[in-house]
Amino acid sequence: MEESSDQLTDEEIAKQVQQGQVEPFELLVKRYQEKLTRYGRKFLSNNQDIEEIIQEVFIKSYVNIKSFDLSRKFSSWIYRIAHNEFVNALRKRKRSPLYFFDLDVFLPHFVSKETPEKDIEKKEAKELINRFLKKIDSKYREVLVLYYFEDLSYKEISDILHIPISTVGVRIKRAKNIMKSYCEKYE
Amino acid sequence: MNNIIEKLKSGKIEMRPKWHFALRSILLILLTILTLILILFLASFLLFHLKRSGIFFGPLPFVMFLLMIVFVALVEFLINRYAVAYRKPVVYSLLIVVALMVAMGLAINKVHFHEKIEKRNLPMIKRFYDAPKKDPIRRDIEINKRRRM
Repeated sequence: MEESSDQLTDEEIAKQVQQGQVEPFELLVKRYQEKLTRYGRKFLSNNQDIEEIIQEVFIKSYVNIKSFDLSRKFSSWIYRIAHNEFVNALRKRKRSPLYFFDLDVFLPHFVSKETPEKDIEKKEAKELINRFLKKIDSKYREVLVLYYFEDLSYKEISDILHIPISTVGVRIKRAKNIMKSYCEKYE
Repeated sequence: MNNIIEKLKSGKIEMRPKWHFALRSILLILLTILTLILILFLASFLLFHLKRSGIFFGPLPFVMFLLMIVFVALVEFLINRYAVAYRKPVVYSLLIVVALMVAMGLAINKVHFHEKIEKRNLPMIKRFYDAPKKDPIRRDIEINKRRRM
């Protein structure tokens, strides 16, 4: 039983939950608890706050599970809920800036197609991110975390943050340049 | 986290029914359509005003133009909830809305929609249609013309 349910995709489990079964939701909690905690740690430092927010994310995802479109990816959907919760938490705590109008989202970018990175490049990028993440603007921080630590594609990040796919690419590129300049400055 | 599962099993937390989300989607679509209709009405009325008074600037067209900008921003906000819109830069959907606004505005004027409404003499909007005739800028232009003659 345990083995067969482990083989189910997130979307298949979500379908069972939509049909009224509570038990399969536990599997989704198990699969995403660690991922969302890691994601939350990139924004907040207090573990208790993170845990409370993640509880709220799971409750909201259960309450709204019938709004989940089974033809799409469950991971993007639950990360979208988590993103909203963490952004709200950050605004309450830090009064971080609100981006009502951002040219990155408004204009097209032609130099930001997703290209596969070699493992060594990814490893180097991750090290840079771990060193300088707190110094980077939140709009760059989030795309970096989702791309390098959660291994999501540009399209999935676009679905989570509700920003154009080309904007995801351009933000990753700019964030890497910013981090490289920090690296030169501090070494 | 065991807390959550226990709460769910106890039935303290309930799922929202599917009709709740369907209703929300329908309302969202209706609101988008209604806002688009308002934009088209305002755009076509501005063109009608221009044709009637010969001037674009004046108190009424200015207010309508501002209203149109507000409604375009609202439409952008509403359509950017859909993947087909937010995956592309905002400028694309904005260009589509503006192109639609101009094309439909011209088409509506081509079929004399506003003239037909004006002829009905509806009490609520009569003043609205009389405005181009009473426009203060147009009045000044007319007075100057007469003086020159």
